[in-house]
This record gives sequence, structure tokens and C-alpha cells, in this order.
Amino acid sequence: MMAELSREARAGSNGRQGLLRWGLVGLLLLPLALGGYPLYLATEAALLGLAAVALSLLLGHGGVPSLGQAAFLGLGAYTVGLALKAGLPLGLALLLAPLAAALLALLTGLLVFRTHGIFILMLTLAFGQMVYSAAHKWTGLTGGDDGLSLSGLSIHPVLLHLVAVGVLLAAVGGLRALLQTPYGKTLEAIRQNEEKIRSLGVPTFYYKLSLYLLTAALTGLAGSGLALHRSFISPHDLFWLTSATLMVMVLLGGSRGLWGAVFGALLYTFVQAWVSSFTDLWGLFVGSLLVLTVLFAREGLWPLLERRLGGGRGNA
Amino acid sequence: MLLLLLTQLLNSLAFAMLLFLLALGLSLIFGVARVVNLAHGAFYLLGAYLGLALGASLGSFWLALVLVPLLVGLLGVLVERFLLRGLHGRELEQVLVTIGLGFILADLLRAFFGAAIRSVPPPAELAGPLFLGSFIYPKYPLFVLAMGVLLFLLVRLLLARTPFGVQVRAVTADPGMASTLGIQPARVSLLTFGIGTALAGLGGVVGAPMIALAPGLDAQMTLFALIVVVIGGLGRIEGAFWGAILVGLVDGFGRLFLPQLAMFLIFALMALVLALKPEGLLGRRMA
Amino acid sequence: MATIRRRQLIKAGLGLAGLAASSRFSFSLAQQEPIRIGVVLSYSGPYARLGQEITRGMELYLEKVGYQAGGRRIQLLKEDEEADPAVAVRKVRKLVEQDRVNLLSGIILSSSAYGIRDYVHERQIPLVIANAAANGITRERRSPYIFRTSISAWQQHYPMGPWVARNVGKKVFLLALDYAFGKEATAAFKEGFLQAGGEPVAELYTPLGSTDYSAVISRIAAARPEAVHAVLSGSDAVIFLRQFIQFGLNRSIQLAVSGEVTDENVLEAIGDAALGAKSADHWVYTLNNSANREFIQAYRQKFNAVPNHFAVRGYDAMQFIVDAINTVQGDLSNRQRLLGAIESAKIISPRGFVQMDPETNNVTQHVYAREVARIDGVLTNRLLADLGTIRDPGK
Repeated sequence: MMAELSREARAGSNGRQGLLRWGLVGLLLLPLALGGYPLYLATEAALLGLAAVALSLLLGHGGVPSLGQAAFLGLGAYTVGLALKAGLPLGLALLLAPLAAALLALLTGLLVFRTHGIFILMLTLAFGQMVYSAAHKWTGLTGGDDGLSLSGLSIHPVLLHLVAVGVLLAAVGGLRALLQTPYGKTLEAIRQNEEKIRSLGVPTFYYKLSLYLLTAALTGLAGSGLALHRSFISPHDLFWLTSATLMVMVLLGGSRGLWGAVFGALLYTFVQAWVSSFTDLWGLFVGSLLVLTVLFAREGLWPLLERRLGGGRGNA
Repeated sequence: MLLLLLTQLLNSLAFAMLLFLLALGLSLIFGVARVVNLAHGAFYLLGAYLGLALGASLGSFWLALVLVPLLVGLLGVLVERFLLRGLHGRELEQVLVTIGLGFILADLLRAFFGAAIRSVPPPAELAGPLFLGSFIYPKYPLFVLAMGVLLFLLVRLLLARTPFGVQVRAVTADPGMASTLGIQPARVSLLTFGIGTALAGLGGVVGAPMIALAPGLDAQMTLFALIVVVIGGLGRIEGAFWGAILVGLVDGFGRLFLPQLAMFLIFALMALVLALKPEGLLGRRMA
Repeated sequence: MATIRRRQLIKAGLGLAGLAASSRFSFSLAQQEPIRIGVVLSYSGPYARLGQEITRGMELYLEKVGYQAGGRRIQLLKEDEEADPAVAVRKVRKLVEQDRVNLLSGIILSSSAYGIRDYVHERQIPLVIANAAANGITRERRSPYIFRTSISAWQQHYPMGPWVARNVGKKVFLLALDYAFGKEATAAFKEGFLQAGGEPVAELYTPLGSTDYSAVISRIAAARPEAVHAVLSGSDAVIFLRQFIQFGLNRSIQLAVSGEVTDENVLEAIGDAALGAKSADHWVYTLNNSANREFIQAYRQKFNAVPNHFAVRGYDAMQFIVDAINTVQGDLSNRQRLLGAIESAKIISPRGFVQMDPETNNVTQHVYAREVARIDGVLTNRLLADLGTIRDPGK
């Protein structure tokens, strides 16, 4: 990851863009110096950022508009919570969370990728809400809407934040590298013209399904991080509005290039927290921000920043 | 038991017709303007609150029933012209704008009308129950039921017989082809958006006496309308109609026999339909 | 005249401040700092009205005492819970770590209370819960730092069981929202109801946020009970009550419901239709005590509206806090003394007798049987019977 950053930083034309990315990383790390609440919020932003990056890959590069990501986020959270309650070591619990999310993605993906466009949106939404209902109803396991407390778990907030940011940056770097591989290029081609690629004999279904599994696993990992971070899990995390919030983060920052998702998550988390402290009409503010973004920065705010400050042409 | 089933059948169908009003607008807008209007529930809520305010100040439910859809439709036209027109063909951006618009409308409504739960009494003519021998049933849901069916027939007729209807069908089927035939898709799209949002507003006025008004209802109604449209098939009014009836029945009888699983059932229904027939029950494969 | 008085006051104030600054006792300077109370309540989303009402009650009481306690100014810092426990956790951290509040109060959702429990406990910040009703908050998950001045689900619903069995009917249909509060409340009601020989004819749980209750109404009509015990709130309560009456069930079946169902906010939305519905709650508009009369008058004067039990909950949460701060004379440095002061606080509540139970940190209080009525031109509840002093068993 760092290698990618510095390579791009050295690469002349991309130099200023590299600087901008370092700036973003700096913003993510800055709260370490402040501690307390800013750090808490920044960890939340980094973890949601990981989920947003996964969605950004799925949406912006795979052309799969999923409105059911909250299910993977919540499943990851509950898996780690229940595994810890069952006495499993933390490392194993953190391994199980993405696996559980990927398993769910496999089960639902087989149906999801029989459809296209808006229907994918609705089908993922439907599966997401079914998982939400299950978490809500299965009180014996999940505690229902009373939620699940992870008492007695203490991870140092600085450590947790460093790990969260590290995983986030590794994910961005790794996934951006993935996009350069033949696999990534094929995904891109499928997004642009699936019929054509299929006619060339490429099993597009499996390309999309594998991408779905990968992003689900990452989202599950993000969810497990959120569970450790908040020491509390509630079915609300699985509600479809959580999926919508992730989508807002991605589109706000820009759905392509993955850095936009990181920026979007950071911006949304801090701005929403800040605004909602002094007005209950924060929805009005967030809504206006969305409309203005689309009107004045169609590709999202991050590409706009890259054009204005970075001097580059933005991420294609 | 028979009476119970009959009562529940009527209830489900009345609610289905309310869903139809919403889904019809959503479906028309998607078919013609290719916009997934996630602010649709907010337009519903706007219609309901305006209906409440106008009904109270004018003293007539019927006047509100006529005026509110016009006002809401006008807002819809403005939104299409100034927010969505420039984003033609950019689905995700349009979705984002409508999400934002939904947030804005919902918060403005709460700021203006307060967070209290409001309930609108049905007009005097439709208040109270109807007695058919031993069968007792409130009048208002019957009115909603009749209105939904009439509207369905009327819109079908309009689409089939009027020049505007032909244009709408042409643009829905193939915008490129339509413009070569001298139809202006932009104008059709503007009018359709206005009509679609007006229908949501109408739904608000009609729905308010049946279900209460409270913050958060907008997201719920958007979700319901989307489910109906997806199950029925996008861009077809028959799809919206039969989809609404199916959802209404599954919801109503689900609540009767398996109340704890009611919402689960609807989503399961949607998943099942899409798994078997990805473009919806009456939908065509979109290009 | 007025300006001169103000100028003199300012001068006097400056003099005092100067005196304090020059004083060798930095202690007295610290006393000038306001006491900061962090309040987390839903101000947006489906519970926004509850948050507003509880806040109204809190501010009403603080105005009464001039935003002063123990010689110090009181400052309320309000944060939106957004009906999401994860947000409650975040906001509590903000209030504690950034705004450095001395105490916390509010909390609409029980899940929020559970979510912040460990943090508040570890940080040793006194929390006065003004709404969240889950039994476990003051039972197995209780903490010496967490107090509940509202009511537990068990407390509110258990006493209604025997009363309904004796005074309304033995055949009762149990209806509740399908979430933790609905289940705990129904279980509590059933416990008392069965003990008194009642027979539940059916038990039905419906999803939260339903837009249509006619299926439920059909089930009730088919079961032919003598009464319905419903645990619903907000728009669910409004829609249920209206449809219950639209379908004419009120002619043959009595309503004996949770106090949440005939809350004044709900009544305002449905009008006269619910007249005569019976309920159990810890506050009644017609309670004849001076604190209640004063509360009602102040509320009606300030907000030109009918008060409700949420406002009472906010009012009393602040009463407990203010009384405790008075007891420790504004010195919050000794946590144990402050906690002791909340435990032994003597307040004069509009609800009548209210006392903190030191074992559970949940208030012991009266529960009343009420009936929807029109009084002084407003739609509210009148007192039917005092069901006695109820203490949550704590397990």
C-alpha cells in the first residue's frame, strides 16, 4: 500500500494526486494526536470507509448497485460478537466474520446475478431486510432489539484505530492493484458491455459473483471491526437505511477509484456528527449536500478535489 | 371465519389500491424518465400533510383531493426541470438526487408540521361503518378500493387512446425511436414526472385517513412502492396494479396468520418473484 | 430605571468575579463553572416527539429552579439519539470526552441504554434514564452509576393484570408490538393477570411501524374477548385505536391498555374516539396533588398544549438531578457522595410518591388505573384507582 502511494507520488504527473491521498491518510491519522471523541469518530469513519470501499468496488467498477450491504456488515458484527461470547479467541472470531459474510453472499448472489440494474438493487435490498428480520426475531441468539453487549472486551482505541486505518489502506491498495490485473480489466469490460463480453465466451456470472463474495467479506470484516469498536451490536446496523448511508458515502465521494469512498465515509461521518449536534434537521443538511454534490460535482467530491487541487484529470 | 376472511380481503385490497397509487406514479416515472424516484414516499408525505392543512383550512376533503395533487405535481415538474433534466441517463446520480430530495422534504415537513403523529378523519360522507346484514365494514376503505380500480381503468384508457398516452408508451418502449418519430422525450418526461408525483400526492391525501401521519412514513412508503413495482414489473401500469394487489394480499393475510413474519413475507415474496422471473411478473426485459 | 439596575448588577457581578479571582481559594472559582448535563434523546426519526416532550419537561423544571442547583448554574447539552443505539453510543462519548459533562440523562431506546451501559459504568458517569423501560437495565445489567427515574416495563404493566381481571373481564386478548418492550410489558401484565384468575384468549405480536391494523382487528373480533390489552406506541397506537373504532369493536369489547397507548400525544391524534379506554400508568392528569397542579399549569401556560407522561419523566429526571446537586452543594468531585445523593433524593413529583430504590436504582412509585376522558376541554386521562406503590423486584 505504502509502496503504491509513494510510487504514485514519484510518478510526476500523478504527484499532486499522490499528495492529496497522503493528505487524506493524514486526516485519518490526525485524530490519534487528539484522542478521545475525535479518535472514536475517526475509527468509525475508517471502518465504515472499509465497507464503503467494498461497495465502491462493487458499484463503480463492477456495476452492481447493491442496497443490501448492511446485511454483510451486521453479519460480520454478530459473528464476531457471538464467537467471542462462545469463548473463541479474537483472531479466529475475526477470521470467521468475513467468511460468514462471504457465505451469505454466495447464497444470495446465485439469485442476485440472474437480474440486472435496478432489480439487483431491489433483490439485494430484499435479502438484506430478510437478514435484518432474522436478527430481530432470533432473540435467543442475537438478543433481538435489546442488542448484544460485548462486555469486558478492551482493545486500546489507538491500536484499534491503527489497525482499522491499516486494513482500510491495504484494502484500497490491494483492490486498486486487483483492478489492474486481467481479472480487474475483465470486470471493467463487463461493466461497460456485458453482452459483448459474454458472447466472447467469458463466464461473466462467475466474475460478478466472485467480486460480490470478495466485497461481502470485506464488508463483514468492517462489521466485525465496528462491533469491537462500539462494544455493542444491534439489529439497527442491518437495517436498509445503513445500506443507503453506505451508498450515500460512496456516491458523495465518487464511486470510482476507491479513494472517493474513503473520502466520502470520512466526510459523511464527521459532517453528520457535527451537524446533528446542533440541529435535529441534519437530514435537511445531508440532503442538500447530496443534491449540491450531484449538481456541481457529478463524479463525486473526490474527483473534483483531484481536478482542482491535484491538477490531474481525476480518476477515470 | 368466513366474515373474517372477507373483511381481511377487503382490507388488503384497500391497502393494495393505496400502494397502487404510489406504484403507478413510480412506475410511470421510471418507464418514461428512467428515474428511480427514491423521493416518492416524501411526495406522498407532502401530499398527506398538504391534504391535512388544506382540508382543515378549506373545510373540504374533496377540494383538497383535487388541489393537493396539482400542487405536488407542480413541485414534481420543477424538480424534473431543474434537478433531474441535466442528469439524463445518469442513473446513480439521479438516485442520489432523489435520496437527497427525500431527506430535504421529510425534514422540512417535520420542521413545519411537527413530529407529532397526525391523523386525518375521513370526510363525513365516508365516515363510519356500512351495515350489510351481519357484515359490518367501514366505508372509507371501500372508497379507496373503488378509487384505485377506477384510476387503473382510466389510466389504461388514457394510455391506450390519447395522443399523450401514445407518446408515453412510445418513450417507455424506446426513447431513441420515439424522438425520430417527432415525439419530444424531454417534454413527455417532464409531464410524466409531474403526473407521477401528483399521483403520490393523491396517494397522500387518500391514504391519510386510512393510516396515520408521522415522521418516517416517507421511507416506508418508498420501500413499499418499490417492492410493488419490482414485483409487478417496471414501467407497466398492469404490473403496478397486479403487483400492488399481490403485495396487499400477502401483507394483509400475512398479518392475519403470521403477524410476526409479515414484513419478512413481503421481502421473501419479492426475492421469490425476482429469482423466478427477474424482470418482474409482467415486466419486459429492459435493454 | 431598568438599565441602571442592570448596570449596577453587572458592576456587582464584576466585583464578585474579581473577588473570586483574587481569592486564594481556587475552590470557589471552580464553583462558578456551570454544571453540564448531557442529554441524549431522539429529536429526529420516529421517536422525535418523545424526545421533544421529555426535553420540555426537563426545561420546565430547570426554569422553575432558575437553572441553578447547589449554587451553580446548570447547562443542558442536548444530543440527537436518532433512534439508533450506535448513535447513542457515539453521542454519549462526545458528551463525556469532548463536552466534559458531569452527568448524563435522557435515553429513549432501551437498546441505547444497553449500548452505553458498559461505557458509562467504566467511566463512572452518573446517568439518569428518563425513558428507556427494559427491565434488565435495573436488573441484571444494573450499575451503581445508572438510575432510572421513569418506569420499568414490569412496573408499569404488572399491576394492571389483577385490576383488569377483577374490574374489566377475565377473557382478555393480548396484543403487543413485536419488540422487547412489547414482550416484557405483556409478560408482566400476564403474570399479574394469571395470578388473579384471568384467561388470555390469545397473544398476538405485530410488527413495529404497521400502517394497517385491520388484520389484527379481524383476529380480535373473531376471538370475542371481553377486553383487549394492547402495548403499542406512537403511530401504531393511533392507527390501532382508530381502526378499532372504525370497525365498531368498541361497542362490544373494552380497551384495557398500556399507558403508552392512551398517552396524550396519541389521544390528540385520534380525538374523542378513544373515550372510556382504560389504561395503567405512573401519572394521571387528574392526580390531585399540588406538584401536579403546578406542573400542569406551567406546562399549559408555556406550551399551550396538554401535558403527558413523557414531559413528567423529563421533569422528574431533572428534579432528581437538581436535588442531588443541592445535597452535595454543587460539589461533584466526590462521585460516591453524588450517587448517594441521587439515591436518597427527596422530590415532590407530579406522579405523587416517588422514591429511588437503592437496591435497584429504579424508582419505586405508584401506578394508577386511568380512563380516557375530556377534562377542562382537553382530551386526557382521569384517575380510576390507585393500584398501590410498586417496586421493581430487581430480578
